[in-house]
Amino acid sequence: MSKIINVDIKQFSYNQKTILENISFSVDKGEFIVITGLSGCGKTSLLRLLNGLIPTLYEGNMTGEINILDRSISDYKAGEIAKYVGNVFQNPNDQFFSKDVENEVALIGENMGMERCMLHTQVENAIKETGIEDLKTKNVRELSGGQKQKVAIASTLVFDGEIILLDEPSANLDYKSTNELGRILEHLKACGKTIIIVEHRLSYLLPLVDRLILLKDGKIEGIFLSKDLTYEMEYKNELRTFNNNNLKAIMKAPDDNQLVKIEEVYVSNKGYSLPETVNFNLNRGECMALIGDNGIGKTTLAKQLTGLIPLRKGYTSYGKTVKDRLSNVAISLQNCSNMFFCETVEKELIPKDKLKDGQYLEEVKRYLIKMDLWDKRMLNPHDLSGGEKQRLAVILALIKESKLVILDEPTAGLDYRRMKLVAEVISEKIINTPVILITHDIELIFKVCNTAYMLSKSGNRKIVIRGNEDKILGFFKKDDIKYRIN
Amino acid sequence: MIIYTSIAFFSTMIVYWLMLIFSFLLVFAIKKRESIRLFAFYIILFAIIWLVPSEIFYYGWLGALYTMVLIVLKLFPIWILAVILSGFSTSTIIYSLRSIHLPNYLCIGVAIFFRFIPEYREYLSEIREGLKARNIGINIFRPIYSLELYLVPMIYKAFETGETLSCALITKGIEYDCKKTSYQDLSFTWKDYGVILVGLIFLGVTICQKL
Repeated sequence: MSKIINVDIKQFSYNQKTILENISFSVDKGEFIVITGLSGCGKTSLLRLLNGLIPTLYEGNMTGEINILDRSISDYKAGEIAKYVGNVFQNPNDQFFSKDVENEVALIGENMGMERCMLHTQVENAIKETGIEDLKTKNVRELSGGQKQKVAIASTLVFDGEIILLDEPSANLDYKSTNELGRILEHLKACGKTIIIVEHRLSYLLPLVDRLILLKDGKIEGIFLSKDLTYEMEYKNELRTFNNNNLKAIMKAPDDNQLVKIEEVYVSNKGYSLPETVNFNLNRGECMALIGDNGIGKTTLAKQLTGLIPLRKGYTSYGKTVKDRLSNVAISLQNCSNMFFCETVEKELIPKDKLKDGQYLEEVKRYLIKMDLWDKRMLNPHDLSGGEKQRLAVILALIKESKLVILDEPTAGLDYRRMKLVAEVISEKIINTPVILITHDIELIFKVCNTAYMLSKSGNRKIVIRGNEDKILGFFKKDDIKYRIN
Repeated sequence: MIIYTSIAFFSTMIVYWLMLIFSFLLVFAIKKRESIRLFAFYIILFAIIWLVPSEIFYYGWLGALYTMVLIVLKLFPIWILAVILSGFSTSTIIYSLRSIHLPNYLCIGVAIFFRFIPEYREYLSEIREGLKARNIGINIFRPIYSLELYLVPMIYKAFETGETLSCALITKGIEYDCKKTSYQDLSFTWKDYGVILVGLIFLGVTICQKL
């Protein structure tokens, strides 16, 4: 078989710091390659070298050679490589340029000067291949994360290029959309596309992988065939789970000491509302997972409980007014960079009136070291990487004195090691303050939550997690109707 | 657009009224619902200016507000045109600009600007939420500090969006040197020529009156 990509990087460095070293591998036509490793191992840089963003947009010095379709990557004219290599990025919100789906998919053809009638047939095909016919004329901003990623994939098909590169495409997706993404990738693989995907979450890719390249500190730690992907290998290399069905919950049931009571809360915002009201209690030592499909109202509920959106109906034991709720609840928002307002991480964590509070300072220090942010404490919070921002937002929520902590998707896109760190600090916190955790991360739920509250159109209920692992998995996998029949 | 702005600045009352009527007609033809809202807004502003005596001009910040409303009124035809423009899809704008032979980078810049107007509105409300969640209050006695609280995250957000967007655009071959095509049919029709003609007439009248 012919080699479609040949990578032989002696060294890649940026600011005198070596990021990649001795990376050499080649990819056959039609192969499905997964590149994984802890955050900061250099996998994103490797991908940027492959799609030409280094050196076009990002700087760096590379010695070595990358060949795509038997041509050195430096021989391609500016922008020409777009004909052969399609890209899907991590953040579905910012990667779109056009207003509606159709034009977005067509953009690449317009840029490359494709004739209009040819372009129309190609766009038509691409939209059919990805199954988004019904979204064709919709506004891109109104789509869900999963739908946006499908649009991004569709635009890689317009040129029928042989190679598709994906950079953590599932980082912002819920469980169902992630599996759907998996199915589309399966279809593309069946069509003979060569796919290279950088990803932490591995379970949905397992049936597709031909080879998995594991990077560690900028070097190739190992290249594994799909038969080598065992539990031992996963455990040894601190990888995300290969198989969600093997997970077991480890948290014991909470104490009987009730701390928070939520009654008859009516979830509603901007014309949307959930049919049934929300009722639950939280006890000392409890971390409750709040789960449900995207768009069902998890974040709305969290904002209502925090006082960011007013409650139309309902009772919260920790505060009767919006103002009380705001001061008694600590929240880390899903879009966590909205929570940073100071010049350095340190100033963000230490308000002026706490500067002389020795105990508080110790606490901040402990959290920073624990969460692997100590070296970054003098940086601007906005300059941190995505995962670091998320951890900082978690610290901000945990360190605030409150009666309830709410964390909204704190681990989306975190590697296994960092996910474990977040789980550890949460389990320390719940000794005194209950935590509500909104997440699609099943590994995290089984690590740190003892109960789960399931939101759905057909009714809400709370269950204990331990012993009910199958039910939780079932809830994630099935849609509303099937769930009701069970 | 540029021609229009300059006319609006230098035009006399008659041309102003004509332009206003013309742009209202345009917006009515393209977006019916928006046009009603804009019209109501205009009436309210106009009523304020008409009812409030112009002596207020001399009293501190009230005067400043008064002047601002005046400026908004004066430039109203332009606002209406901007509303029409922001309703077009990004590729339409970019292709139209390309077809009047503006350089590529300018086309991209203008198109992105219009594409992200709604985005910025959203950023603002997100930042407000973040401030509330952190229990940081806005203090009207420290206006610069308060402005900073909004501005700094806003700038960083813009950077972030810009970076991702450039990645997406570059990998989609925006730099590729060839004759660009358009997905939608965007050739000039009699309507376009008509609108340009009206614009030129306005320009002509203004110049004549100044001479």
